Amino acid sequence: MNKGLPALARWLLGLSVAAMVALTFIWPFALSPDPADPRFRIAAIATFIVFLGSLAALVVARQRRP
Amino acid sequence: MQGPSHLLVSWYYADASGVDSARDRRIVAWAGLAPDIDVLAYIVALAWYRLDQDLAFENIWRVVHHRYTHGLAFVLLTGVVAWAVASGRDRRWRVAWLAMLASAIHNFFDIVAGGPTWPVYPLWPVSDLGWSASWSWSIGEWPNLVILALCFAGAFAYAKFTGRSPLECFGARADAWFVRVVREGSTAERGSGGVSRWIIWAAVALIVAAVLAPLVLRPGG
Repeated sequence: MNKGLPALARWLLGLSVAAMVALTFIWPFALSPDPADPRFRIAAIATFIVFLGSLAALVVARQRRP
Repeated sequence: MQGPSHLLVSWYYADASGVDSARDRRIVAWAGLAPDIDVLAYIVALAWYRLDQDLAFENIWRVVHHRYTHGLAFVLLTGVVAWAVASGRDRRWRVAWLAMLASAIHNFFDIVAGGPTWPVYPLWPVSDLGWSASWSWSIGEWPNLVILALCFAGAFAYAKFTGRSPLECFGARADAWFVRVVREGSTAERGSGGVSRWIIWAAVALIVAAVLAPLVLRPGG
């Protein structure tokens, strides 16, 4: 595995976790408490996918580590 | 998401974050499941109402679930507990931080994958605003089942390739046994007189029960 990929995955993981915290604890109070807000839907699903994808990449990288 | 998914994702998160101590990985993993400790209220309610699911659901579960343990206050409490039980003074703050993040991630997952009828209460007790998504998929839908299946597959892969697995959440012996069974296969079972086979089936039955019980007993998220 390319050495840069785990670093990128680690960065994306941290970014997605920060986004999760913001979407959970800040968004409904600062932006909109509307449960059907399409902006929230896009942001949340994107964050969800980035988190799981980067986590999977890091897990695979750690399994391949000698 | 199902309870086992919360636990396993949190363990993977701890490992991916470079937590090298099994004890600390275990702390972060359980911190990721901790918000669902409110299920104890439902169990007590079932006993209180003599197994009347409807009464327990309407009077207790509908009121309690996600309200008191799915918010920032519980995230902070999780951090305090993690700090107190983490191994090594120099690691305490990092483990506490990761435990709080795992607990916060649980809240986010319950918004996205806990169903639209179960809001979390991010700032309780300061604010009583419930936060949910109308499009959130519920606990028995395919995305949650796919995530659960991938988490289990990952546990086997970890055991095979790294010599450790998320079963260390249940102790070092459980992890060592699981790794041995995965790596050595049937020879390990023969060596222990077939007892391992029964333990595996009991574990599978427990996991299936853990996944199906919320669907049968109705509490979601």
